[in-house]
Amino acid sequence: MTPEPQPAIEFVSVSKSFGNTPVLNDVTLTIATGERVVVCGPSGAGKSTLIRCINGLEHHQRGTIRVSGETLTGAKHSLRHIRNQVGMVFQSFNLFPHMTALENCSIAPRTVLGIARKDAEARALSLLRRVDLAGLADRYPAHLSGGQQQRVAIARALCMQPRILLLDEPTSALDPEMVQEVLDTIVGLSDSGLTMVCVTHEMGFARRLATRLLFMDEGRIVESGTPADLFDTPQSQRLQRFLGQIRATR
Amino acid sequence: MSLWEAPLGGYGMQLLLGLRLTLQVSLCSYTVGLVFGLLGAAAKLSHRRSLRLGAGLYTTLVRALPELLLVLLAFYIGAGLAERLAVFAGLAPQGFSLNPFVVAVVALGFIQGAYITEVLRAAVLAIPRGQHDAARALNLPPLTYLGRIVAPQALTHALGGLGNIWLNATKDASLISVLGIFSDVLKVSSLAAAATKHYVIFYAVAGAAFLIITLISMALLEWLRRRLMPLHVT
Repeated sequence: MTPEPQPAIEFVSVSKSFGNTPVLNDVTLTIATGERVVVCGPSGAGKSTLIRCINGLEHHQRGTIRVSGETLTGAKHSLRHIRNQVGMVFQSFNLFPHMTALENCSIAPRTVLGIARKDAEARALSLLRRVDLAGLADRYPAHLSGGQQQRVAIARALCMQPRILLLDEPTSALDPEMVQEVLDTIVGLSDSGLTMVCVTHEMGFARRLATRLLFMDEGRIVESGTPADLFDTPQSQRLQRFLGQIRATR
Repeated sequence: MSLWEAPLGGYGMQLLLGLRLTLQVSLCSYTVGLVFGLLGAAAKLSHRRSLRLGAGLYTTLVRALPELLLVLLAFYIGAGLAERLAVFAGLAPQGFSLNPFVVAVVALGFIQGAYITEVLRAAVLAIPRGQHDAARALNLPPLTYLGRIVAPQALTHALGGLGNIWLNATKDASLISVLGIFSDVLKVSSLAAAATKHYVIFYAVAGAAFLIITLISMALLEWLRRRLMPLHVT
């Protein structure tokens, strides 16, 4: 018997509340290395909180979170160790507006990994090429479209060569005609072996990207399975209603 | 000099020296104000309650009291206290007295620092939360985050407010004319006006001097704004 490979992400009975409102309710979850997990669910279900707990942007109050075997505590070295392996893409891009696309991508390799400017910029440029933006490396975010900004943000996260990529509603802030280019870029990363966790409402995209789909409601994981299983034969009433609402708006 | 001395009744040179003093006091007090402002803003944004309270007391008191009163307090009470304290602590010899220029600069800087504190605090708070998230997710070291992400963005937010405070600093510099020991441009003008009875001319000259300082400052600030904000040009 070969030993089980180490899971990329483990949640054991994780709970978190804002004041008296529970946002994560006894979540237990294991994500294997290389899995591409899409998280969906109604707003307020705790999807963003779940994903933001993985790299310690939010602190959980109970339970255990392990990332690549390292237990997430509030301690600096634990956070640093985990964040060095976890890249993140945000709903609102969060690019640094006073830096060019190239500078956005090269600042972390330079200041965190201590890579020389020339090498960091070469790495940044190759990743900008990968998201099809090599020609716009010298532009400031204000001079890029929303879709282009989000692709820069993806390149920026990849520049740190993460093993895990978190995507928090990466297309929710985009104009409709720019959604596809970003989704295609993300699907294009599928064969890279990256472990991905993505919160999204784009169901067609979820089918293309995900090896597993999680449906969350009220801080709990209600259903988990392949996209085909969940979309075609939803078990819970809650998921059936959710899918009905999403389909009604399309 | 004749061109200056003839129309201004021999006061031309004094007025120029007064203008120089006004500019010196403005620049030095503003620099001191920036230091107070940086410390004040850091304290206001601190996690420590005591620092926030202290900074709150500072900005509230200074902004509540008339600037003239604060300058008088600094000269007639603050300076004396500081001198005695310095002697008591063994930092200065008996009979030590502070240079009035230094007292004026520190007093005015202390006042401007309270306003600069508020401008800088607001400028930092205007930075979207997502910038902090992105920096944390990328593991940027705290100093890199402050220096490369927060400072440049805060500066663009603060520039307008800092410019206003600078323009006020040039005018506040004339507050020292009430103390009777400084010959700043306003003091020289009022002496000249009283001596020659040409009130209109000399007060107009004083006004023109401040207007020119302001116009030059505005041009410089605009140049600075353009240099600092290539990102907002669309």
